[in-house]
Amino acid sequence: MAVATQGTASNYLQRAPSPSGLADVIDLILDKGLVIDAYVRVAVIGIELVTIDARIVIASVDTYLRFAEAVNRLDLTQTEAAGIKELRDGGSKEREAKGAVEGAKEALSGDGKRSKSGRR
Amino acid sequence: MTAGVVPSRTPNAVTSTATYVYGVTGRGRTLRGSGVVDARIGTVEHGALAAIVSPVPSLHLRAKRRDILAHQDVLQRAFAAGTVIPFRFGTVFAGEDAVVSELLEPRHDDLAALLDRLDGVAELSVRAYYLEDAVLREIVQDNSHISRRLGRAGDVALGESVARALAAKRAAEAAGIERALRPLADDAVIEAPRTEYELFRGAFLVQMTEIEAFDAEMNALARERHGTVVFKYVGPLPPHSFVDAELN
Repeated sequence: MAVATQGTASNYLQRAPSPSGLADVIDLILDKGLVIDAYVRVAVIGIELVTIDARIVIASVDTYLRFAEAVNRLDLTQTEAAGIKELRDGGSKEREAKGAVEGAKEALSGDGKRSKSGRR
Repeated sequence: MTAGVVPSRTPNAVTSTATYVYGVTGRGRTLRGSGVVDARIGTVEHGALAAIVSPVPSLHLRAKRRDILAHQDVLQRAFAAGTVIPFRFGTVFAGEDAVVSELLEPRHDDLAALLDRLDGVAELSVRAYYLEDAVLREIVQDNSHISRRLGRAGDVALGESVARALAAKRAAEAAGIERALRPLADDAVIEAPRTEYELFRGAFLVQMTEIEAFDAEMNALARERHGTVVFKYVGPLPPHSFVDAELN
């Protein structure tokens, strides 16, 4: 009855006939399924139930800082060429574009240093 | 091995054996194997129905990790052999007689009708997650107001722009996934994403005969967003998400 996925060997589609991790099983059987009145009697102990309550993170300054940090440490080498071209073409945009190039340089050299002074 | 059972504190329950119910299926099924607290599973039949059960030492037991996995495993095996109404984890009756008098008898027709409705269908669980760097790169590329701001440490406004762009992107893409899959399903339950980079979380009730088409659509979706999105696709499962609130 189970239909196997035809060889998408790559990991972009993970196919499984049944949930593999405890968190996924908990999600399925503690959160869903038929409930008959008040007959649920079993206490669940010693199991990490945090997964169930993990709701989407509320927008906050902390979240924003994390996003800002994440985009700033991106390896933008793929777009570097375009970025540099823009820098050369648009003189007034120099200051902003410099940031992007600098970020790319950091990623390339991998030293992760954050310098405010403009390196080129 | 200890099965995580503690003796009940109510005196008259100590000697009695309670009955754990996994779900309901049609009568005449033979089920083997063990379930919660390693007890052997069996059925309690009434009319057209059979409850999938196993004995537990008392109404008050403390479940462990293995019991949770056992519940799902029993249902999965029963489902592989036929239609089943999955119950939520932790449904215990005072005994096999109580399973009949409090469940199968009073709710016989509702359960039988539900069982009929679930005949030949399965639940397919679909989740999709963004790969952080890849999706952020797309956001930077698609939004000049973001790419222009890069490079400033502690830039809250930059982070807010990214968060907003990500939310908009997620909403659009999640709608696209739902649009692609819903026509192949009888029913669907779409849940809100739970983490920053979760893109989609949904369960689809699909005819067994449509599973192959669903597989193909999943493959197409995953291929399309290869490198940026990872899909987790689980099933066919017992229809956990589609029996809720069916009986009241």
